Amino acid sequence: MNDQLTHDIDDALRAAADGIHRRAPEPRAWDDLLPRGSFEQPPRNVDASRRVLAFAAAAIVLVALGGLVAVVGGSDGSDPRTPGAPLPPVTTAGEVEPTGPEIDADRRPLDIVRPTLAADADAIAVAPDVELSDRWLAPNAPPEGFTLDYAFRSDDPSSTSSRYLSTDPSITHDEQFLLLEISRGSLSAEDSTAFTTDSGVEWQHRWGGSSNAAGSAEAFLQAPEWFATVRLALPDLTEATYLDELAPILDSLRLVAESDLGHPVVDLGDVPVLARTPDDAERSGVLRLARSINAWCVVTGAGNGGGMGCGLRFDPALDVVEVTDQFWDDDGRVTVAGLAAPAVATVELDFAGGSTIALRPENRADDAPELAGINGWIGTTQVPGSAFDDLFVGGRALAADGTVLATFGQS
Amino acid sequence: MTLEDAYRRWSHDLVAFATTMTGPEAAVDAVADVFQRLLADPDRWDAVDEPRAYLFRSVHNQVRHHGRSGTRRLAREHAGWGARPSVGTDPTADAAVATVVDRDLDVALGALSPQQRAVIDLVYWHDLTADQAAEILGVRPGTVRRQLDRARRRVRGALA
Repeated sequence: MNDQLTHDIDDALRAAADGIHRRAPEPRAWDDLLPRGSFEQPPRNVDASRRVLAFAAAAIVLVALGGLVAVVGGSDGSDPRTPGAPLPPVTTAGEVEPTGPEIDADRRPLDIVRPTLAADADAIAVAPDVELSDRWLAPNAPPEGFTLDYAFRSDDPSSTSSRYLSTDPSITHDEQFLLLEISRGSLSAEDSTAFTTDSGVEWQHRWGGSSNAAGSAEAFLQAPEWFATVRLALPDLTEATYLDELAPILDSLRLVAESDLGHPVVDLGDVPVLARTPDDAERSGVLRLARSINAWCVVTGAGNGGGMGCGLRFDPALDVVEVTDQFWDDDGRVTVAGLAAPAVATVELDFAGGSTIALRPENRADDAPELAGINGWIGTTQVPGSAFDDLFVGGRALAADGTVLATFGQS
Repeated sequence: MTLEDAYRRWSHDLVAFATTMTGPEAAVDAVADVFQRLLADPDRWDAVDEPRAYLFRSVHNQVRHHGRSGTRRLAREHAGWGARPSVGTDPTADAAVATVVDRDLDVALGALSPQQRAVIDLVYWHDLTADQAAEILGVRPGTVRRQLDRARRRVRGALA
């Protein structure tokens, strides 16, 4: 019985690995990798492709896991490839520094999809003296059922991003949203199809995949110096119908200056400091927080990593504690950050190996009244073990008298 | 072996390996980034004794270094803060296949960590031993065995 079960597990995992390989995307063409400066094709725009990558969001995880899952029940046996031979042992450290060569964001790869703007595309034309950081993609009016949730420009500042969310409280934020981004550089939109709006602007669009809760579709527009990305998710969106939903939204989009956006925006390069790690060491961590319309934007940084983004929902009147970030490096140095209600006097964090650190939530943003009544915390510690493991385990929020107000796990 | 030869020979397997950890589109970027850095530093490539193992380990490191912030950004901007992407069936998969997928197994596999999926790829696709996979991943063999055991127990629970 157990032998049969073991055999089944092995078969399932082998089929899962097999499915990943069958469904893995094609690598880039070799010529796309060649460095600029030669007379070969220039490289892809790293920043641009990352934007598109980020744009593909949920589909990344869902397609990966979906591919893994779909083959478990049985393979059609059509795999044209067979598992490779065992790899030789490593005799040279396979380390590659995480920071790569600087790539000129203005250069564009030759194989990019490069639709042209129609001459009469006034709806999305941009005044030449408008800075990219002041270009926002916005609909003439929010689509029915959507409201603007946040708007921010990145810290580079090479992009602007805004997201519209469902106004229906019964629909979750990952089931219905409209994401609009403008980024400097070029994009690579493989597997997309051209579509020209009634206003004469040519977009590329593609199906983004579906989860149990929603389907998503994507559209891209390449201009000479920048590109726009649009992602739409709806609970009942399907591959067969998404263009019907997407087309009127694309047709309504226009580029506007920040003053015409109708809402204040957050500059992620200039966000107030809410909390710092208790030490003043060089690798100390900082948690920054800002409010954007209906959501919080958080920027964290420490010697071993960092992150930034908007969309957090945290109400100190209703919520007790929230883990917003966790990151670690190869040396087992772990940073965890989050927010807490004023009633929380101490946040205790548990790590692999049984170690615990205690942090006192604080608010250093005296000059930011919109942050009053909300505290932040960020702590860094060294954890024995490998970054291969889950180093941060969970924690507790304690009141001043030691009462446990809430417990939490990894974010 | 030139770097171009290595790319043409192993890039598909490297992308598939990275896909197990980070998804298909990030996987393509990760592999491309590794080779672009090696193109910028040819001396490093010339010093490599075991190119295939070196590339797998480099891709693994690349995904680990860049996966964290990327994951956070995606979660915040696209799926809603704190929301975890749910595991769904591949919309392009054959419907008959999808319908026979055991839901518990679906959840079990989806709950595996990227590292556990990397171990599965190395052990079940490349037929590596735990010791060999550990060398590729730069961890102790015991760590690989532990991760593999966790993965198998999750699947075992789903199949039982």
